[in-house]
Amino acid sequence: MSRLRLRSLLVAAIDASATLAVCMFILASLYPTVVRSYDELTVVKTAEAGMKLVNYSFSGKLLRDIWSYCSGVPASQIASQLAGQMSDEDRVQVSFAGSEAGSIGDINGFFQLHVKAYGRSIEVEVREGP
Amino acid sequence: MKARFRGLLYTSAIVVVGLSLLSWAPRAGRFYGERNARILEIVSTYNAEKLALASYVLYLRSGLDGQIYSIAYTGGDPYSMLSLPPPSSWAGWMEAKLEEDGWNASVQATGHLSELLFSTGGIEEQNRCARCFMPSKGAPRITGNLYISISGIYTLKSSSTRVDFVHPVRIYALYKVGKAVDTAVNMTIQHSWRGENPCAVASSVEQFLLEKLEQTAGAKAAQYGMIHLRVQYTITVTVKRRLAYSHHTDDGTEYTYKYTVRVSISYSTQVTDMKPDAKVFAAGSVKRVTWRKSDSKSRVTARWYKTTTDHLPPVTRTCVRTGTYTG
Repeated sequence: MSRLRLRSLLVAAIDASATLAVCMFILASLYPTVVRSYDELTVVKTAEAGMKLVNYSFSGKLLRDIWSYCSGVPASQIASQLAGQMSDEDRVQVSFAGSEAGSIGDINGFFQLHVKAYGRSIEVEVREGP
Repeated sequence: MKARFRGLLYTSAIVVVGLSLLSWAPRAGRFYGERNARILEIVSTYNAEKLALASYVLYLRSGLDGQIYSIAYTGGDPYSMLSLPPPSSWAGWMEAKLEEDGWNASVQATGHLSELLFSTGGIEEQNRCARCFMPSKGAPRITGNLYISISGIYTLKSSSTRVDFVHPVRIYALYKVGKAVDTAVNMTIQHSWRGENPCAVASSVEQFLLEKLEQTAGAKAAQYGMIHLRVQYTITVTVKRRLAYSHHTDDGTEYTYKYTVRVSISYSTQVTDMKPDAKVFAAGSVKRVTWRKSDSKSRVTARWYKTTTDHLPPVTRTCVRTGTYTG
C-alpha cells in the first residue's frame, strides 16, 4: 500500500471520527432536553385535560349537556360545542358519548370522565395535543 | 476517489445519527423518567377522585329528578315517597370503570336524604355540579361520604370526601303549602254553617275559605318565597227543609222541621316552585315542577225548628260558586 493511500485513509478516518463525535455530542446535549420536555409536556397536558373535565363537571355544564343528549340532541353536536369551548388554539379533541370533535396531531395527554345518569352511561374524554 | 470516500463516510454518519434520533424519539405513553411518571400519577389520581365525586353527584341528582316529578305530579308525600338512589349501585359501576382505565380502585359511597332546613348563601361546587344555584329551605339535601382508593404503578391514594349537595326543587316546601290548602278547606268545612238561602251561605263560605287560604297556605308560600299557589274551588251549598215530625198538643198541632245545610268544596291545588333553577329532567325534557292535587270535602249541618203554623212543603235549594285563589 502506498504511503499516499495510507495517508488518505487516515484523513478519512479522522474526518469520520470527528463527525461522529460532533453528532454524538449534539445528541447527548439534546437527549435530556427532549426527553424531559416530552415527559413534562405529557404531565402538563394530562393535568390540563383532567382539570378541563373537572371544571366542566362542577360548573353545571355537564349536566346541561347530558339533558340535551337525553332530549335527543346528537352527541356530535354536543361534542363540537364542547370542543369549541375547551379548545386552546385548536389543540383539543373531545369525545362525548362516542362522538368526537376537534382535531389534533399527537396526543400528549388525555382524561376520561364516566357518568351514569338518567338511565344512561355517558363517557366524556378530553385529549390534549402539543 | 478521496472525495467520494469522504462523502460516503459523512453520509453514513448522518444516517447513524438520524436512526439514533428516531429510536430515541419520545412516544405517547412511554416515560423516560420515573419521577415524571410518578408526578403524572399523582395528578391523575387527584383528577380521577374529583371526577368520581362529580359523577356521584350527577347520579344522585338524576335519580331524584324522576322521583320528584312523579311525586309532584301525583300530589304525593315526599317525606314517605322520596328515597335516595342506591349508592352501592353507582360505587360498583364506578369501580369497574376505573379498573377499565387501568387503576386498581376501590369505591364506596354512602348517602342520607333529608330536608334542607335553612337557605344557604354560598354555592358550593357540588351544588353547581347539580345545577342548584340557589340552595333553599324545603329542598332535598343529600349528605354522605365517598371513599376512593386508587393505586397505579407508583402511587396509592386513599381519600374520603364529604358529599353535601342540595337538589334545586323544593319539593318538601311545595308539599307543605299543598297541605296548608287542605287545612284551610278543612277549617272551612268544619265551621257550622246555617241559613235558609243557599247563595248567601255559599258567599259566606267563600269569604271564609279565602281568608283561611290567605292565613295558612298563602302565608306559608310567602314565607318560602318564589312559590306560586293556585287553588281552583267549587263551593256547592244545598239547603233542605222537610217535616221531621209533628205531634198534637192541647194548643194544637206542633210541627218540627229539619233544616239541613250541606256544604261541599271541590278544589284542585297547584303549587309551583318558581325559583329559576328549580327544574327537573323527566320524560325527555327539562320541566318546572308543580305539585298538584284534586280533592273534595263535604259536611252536613242540621237544625230543627218548631212551629205551629200550617204544614210547609219540603224544599231543596242549591247554589254553586266557583273561584280561584292565587298566592
